[in-house]
Amino acid sequence: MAGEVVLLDFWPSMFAMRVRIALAEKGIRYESKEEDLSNKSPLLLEMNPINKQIPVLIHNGKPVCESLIIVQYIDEVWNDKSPLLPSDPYQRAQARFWADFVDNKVSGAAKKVWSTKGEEQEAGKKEFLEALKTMEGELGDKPYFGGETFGYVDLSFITFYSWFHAYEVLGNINIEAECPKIITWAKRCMQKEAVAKTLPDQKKVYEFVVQLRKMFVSE
Amino acid sequence: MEEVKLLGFWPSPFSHRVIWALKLKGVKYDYLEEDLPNEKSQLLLQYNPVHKKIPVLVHGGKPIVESLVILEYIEETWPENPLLPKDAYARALARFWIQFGLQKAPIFHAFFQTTGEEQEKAIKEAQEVFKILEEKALGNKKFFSGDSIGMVDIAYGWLAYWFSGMEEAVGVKVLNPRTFPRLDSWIQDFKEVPVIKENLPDYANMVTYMKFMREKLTSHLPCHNH
Repeated sequence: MAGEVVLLDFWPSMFAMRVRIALAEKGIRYESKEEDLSNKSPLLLEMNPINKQIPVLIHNGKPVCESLIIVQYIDEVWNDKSPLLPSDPYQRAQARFWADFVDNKVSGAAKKVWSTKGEEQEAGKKEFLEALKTMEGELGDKPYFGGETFGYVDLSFITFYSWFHAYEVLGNINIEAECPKIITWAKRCMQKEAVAKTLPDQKKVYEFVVQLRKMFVSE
Repeated sequence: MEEVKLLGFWPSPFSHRVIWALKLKGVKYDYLEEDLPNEKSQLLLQYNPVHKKIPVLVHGGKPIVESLVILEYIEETWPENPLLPKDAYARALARFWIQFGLQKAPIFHAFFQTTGEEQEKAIKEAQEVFKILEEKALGNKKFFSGDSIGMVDIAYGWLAYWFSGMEEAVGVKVLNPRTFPRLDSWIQDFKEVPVIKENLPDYANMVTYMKFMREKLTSHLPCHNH
């Protein structure tokens, strides 16, 4: 199961962060290759010719693409410790549903918050906060989405926390005021070494997003 | 064995994904037809409060929603006649192609719901998707999953049957058998698989439904085609 593990990476990507957390949780040694997305490497184009996107996990020379697919692959291959998905099929289905919800509802709305302005941004902000509130409802009184332990849904969602400062400043929203339980949960997740070591500093991400925003919005 | 129920909608390809998986594994279930587009039943709203959509699989009273999540659940709960490969890498590849279909769905929505330039763009993009599917996903295999159908084929089932209904409703042929011969072979082979053949909505009814939906979605647009 060991062998060579390489991750085609990009430090602010919340999708790449998911893979880094999974690798850290499992104690897997790997080489991280930082991509310049404005100048994609031949390796990236070779390993992910269809979407040309990071993250890509290259295990013994064979590429696995799409962050949640990579996380499931890691969980199945390195199945001797720190399970990421629950073992019960019904719990797994719930975990897959909520990770999908993060990818479909949270992610799309979040992008509108930083990449648009005016009416479109207002609509995006509303959608984003509604999606967070839905997540809050699902969390309930549990310490983690996975229950007593950090799991697949937590991993899928926590990476967006590193972008919260950017959403708040660019969107003029107060996430803690709207969804206090999400912030409590996020801070709990940040107590985990795998998460704390993976997530970049929120201010650094904010500076990155401010530059990125210029490509989408003229102000 | 605990009771299995499926909340579905007769013309829905997503409903059919679940039907095919259950039948391929010989799982007995009760089918409940949702009366869409009229009022959604209390049962549906109770079982899928987040998205309020079918299909919903209910196993021993517990609901599972989202057709692709349901397929993975069925695969894990009833492992006989596996729909995914055993090898972890091959599974990741299968999931990648299923995800690819999901990511490209907006192109097909655009094809069905727009007219004019926007539709032209969607048609071009759809043909690019077919090219990739033929060359990279299908290759020289009979089915996406190899010699027999699997989860990837089930996920693309809409392309084998519902897409031509969409083409008829829109009045444009996009998936030309001469341009995409291997994909066309896959379509014919897929429809011949007994579980699939015996579990498809009536073609004429499906086309009527497509035409009705196309009209509904484009009536506000200028210069729409029938």
